[in-house]
Amino acid sequence: MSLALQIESLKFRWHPKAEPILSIDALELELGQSLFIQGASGSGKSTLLNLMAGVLTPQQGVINLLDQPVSKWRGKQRDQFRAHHIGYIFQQFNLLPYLTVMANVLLPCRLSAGRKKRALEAYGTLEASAHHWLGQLNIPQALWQRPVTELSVGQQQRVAAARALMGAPELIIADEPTSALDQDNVENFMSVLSQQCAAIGSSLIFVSHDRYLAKWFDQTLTLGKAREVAA
Amino acid sequence: MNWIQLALASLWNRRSTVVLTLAMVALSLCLLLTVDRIRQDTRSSFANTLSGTDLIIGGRTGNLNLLLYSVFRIGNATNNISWQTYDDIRNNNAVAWTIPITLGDSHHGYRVIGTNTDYFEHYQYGRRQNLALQKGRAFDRDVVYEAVLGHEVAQVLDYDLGDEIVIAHGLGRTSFENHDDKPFVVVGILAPTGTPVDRSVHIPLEGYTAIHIDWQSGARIPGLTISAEEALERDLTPDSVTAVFVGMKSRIQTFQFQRRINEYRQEPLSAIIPGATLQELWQMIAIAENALIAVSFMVVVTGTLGMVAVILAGLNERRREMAILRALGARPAHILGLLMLESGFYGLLGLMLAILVHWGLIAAVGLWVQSQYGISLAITLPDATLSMILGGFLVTTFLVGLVPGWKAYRQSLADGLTAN
Repeated sequence: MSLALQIESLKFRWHPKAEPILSIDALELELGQSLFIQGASGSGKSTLLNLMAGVLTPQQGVINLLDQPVSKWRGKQRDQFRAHHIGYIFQQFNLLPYLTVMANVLLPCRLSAGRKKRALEAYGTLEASAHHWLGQLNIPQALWQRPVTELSVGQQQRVAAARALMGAPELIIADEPTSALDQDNVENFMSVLSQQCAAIGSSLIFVSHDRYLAKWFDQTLTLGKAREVAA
Repeated sequence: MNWIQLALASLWNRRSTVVLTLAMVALSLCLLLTVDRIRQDTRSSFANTLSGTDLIIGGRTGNLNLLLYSVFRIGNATNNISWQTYDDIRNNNAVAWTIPITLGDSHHGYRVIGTNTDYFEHYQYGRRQNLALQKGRAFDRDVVYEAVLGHEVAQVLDYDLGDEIVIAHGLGRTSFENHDDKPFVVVGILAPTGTPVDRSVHIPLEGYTAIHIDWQSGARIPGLTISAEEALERDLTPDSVTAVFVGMKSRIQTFQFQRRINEYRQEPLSAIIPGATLQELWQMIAIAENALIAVSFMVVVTGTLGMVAVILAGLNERRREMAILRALGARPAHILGLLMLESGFYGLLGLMLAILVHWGLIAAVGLWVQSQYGISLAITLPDATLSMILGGFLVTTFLVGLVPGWKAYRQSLADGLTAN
């Protein structure tokens, strides 16, 4: 059995002399399982996301992704790993405004040969793959060739999810993607996203301050305690 | 979609800014290209105007002034040379040939040159090319009221052989005083030369004398009218000529003869070697030329700085774009490259646009410049020196992309995936 995420005695601080902003002793997530990371603002959620995505590296401890010691790698390797294995969804403004919906969804396959290969294996063509995911995320077909600026916020977040799912990366990391959505849209978004991640056997790692969302996930990590302990 | 396509799509999204920035870069380069073209073509057209003439002799005046009025039809003569002196020069043993010219009158703004058949025999331009007649013949030794037109005169005023023209007194484009009692018949039209000859009307020296026979001090003598036929019966040998072009038997004698002319006792004269005086002219013009080129370079530098400023100013709004690309696996080096690409794009497209605008400009005003100043501006690619400078400019535009590139690089490292 392989692990999607494994964290050991992780400490991260912005300055060598500062208190660690983030401190996690141990965390494991099996591939295919989902993780909810909950914490108030300032609890180090964004930092943890950047660490997991390989944009930051910890001063102490190890982060393994898909059983690889990603946090020990050089920047170039980490960037490549992210392109191949991680689908990332932002809080909002996920899409490049100068590309169409389709072009945005196709971007990961243009930047990663691995994801391109998997998309082709599963759907034959990249377009078919993009159509599949846009369809699964309930984006009306009439919008596929439109500029993303014509979409509502909810539609934009679903397009972002479709993009994250393209090429079936093993990890989908989402940074409060529902915070800009109204309640109906949140339900809809959460159910579609969890279903689709499960369908391709990917692990969804989801960050939010909204405790209520924990019901969608297998595991929950609550941040903020580390600093309380240190204090 | 590769990075170039992505950069282009991003630029297209910001097209109003991009168009203005491109215009800024293109116009700055266009100025440099055009100034350089004018500089080069002015030199070559001046240098090509006269060849084969060893000395030009005129009344005592500044060297440049003598060169300008005798060869380039710019400015006016202050003094003439007496016919006696001209005879002396012509008969000197060292002299191979002479061309006397008399200036002062005009026809529709084109200068009228009194001369003799030696002009068509000895006058050379470009690389020692003689004048050629496109139509008709040179004027006869014995006929007075004949004219040979420069190519442009005939073209612009639509003259053909056999047409009669009236010469106006003085040089104004609209002269109130016409020598309308003594018209001249067009007997020849010269082939184009690209020199001021194209803009000249040539008549025999005797013709010049004839039309002024009943004039004194620039005005008609009241009550005295001498008809064209009556004039022919008088002695039409001129009293004076404005300048004399001289060809030496041996070029070695040029300097010695020049000194003798400058020390001529009977009359104050000036003798110049055309090439040497042209050099003096260049030295004088070089100061202005260099200033113009320097200003053009400064404008190009300003344009480039402006372009960098535009890219830098846009970076903050593009933090999202960078973060999205980072999340998709772009390396910070990609972000840096993207901005260098953008900066280089401005340089490359700006240069191509500049060349097109520059060509358009020359095509638009070339004819006017040719007719007004006798300088034929060529529509060509920049010469080797300028090409190297422009190549350097292109490399520079890619390199200055490092400035916004570095900022975006730092920004994307600091922002990570959490920029909002």
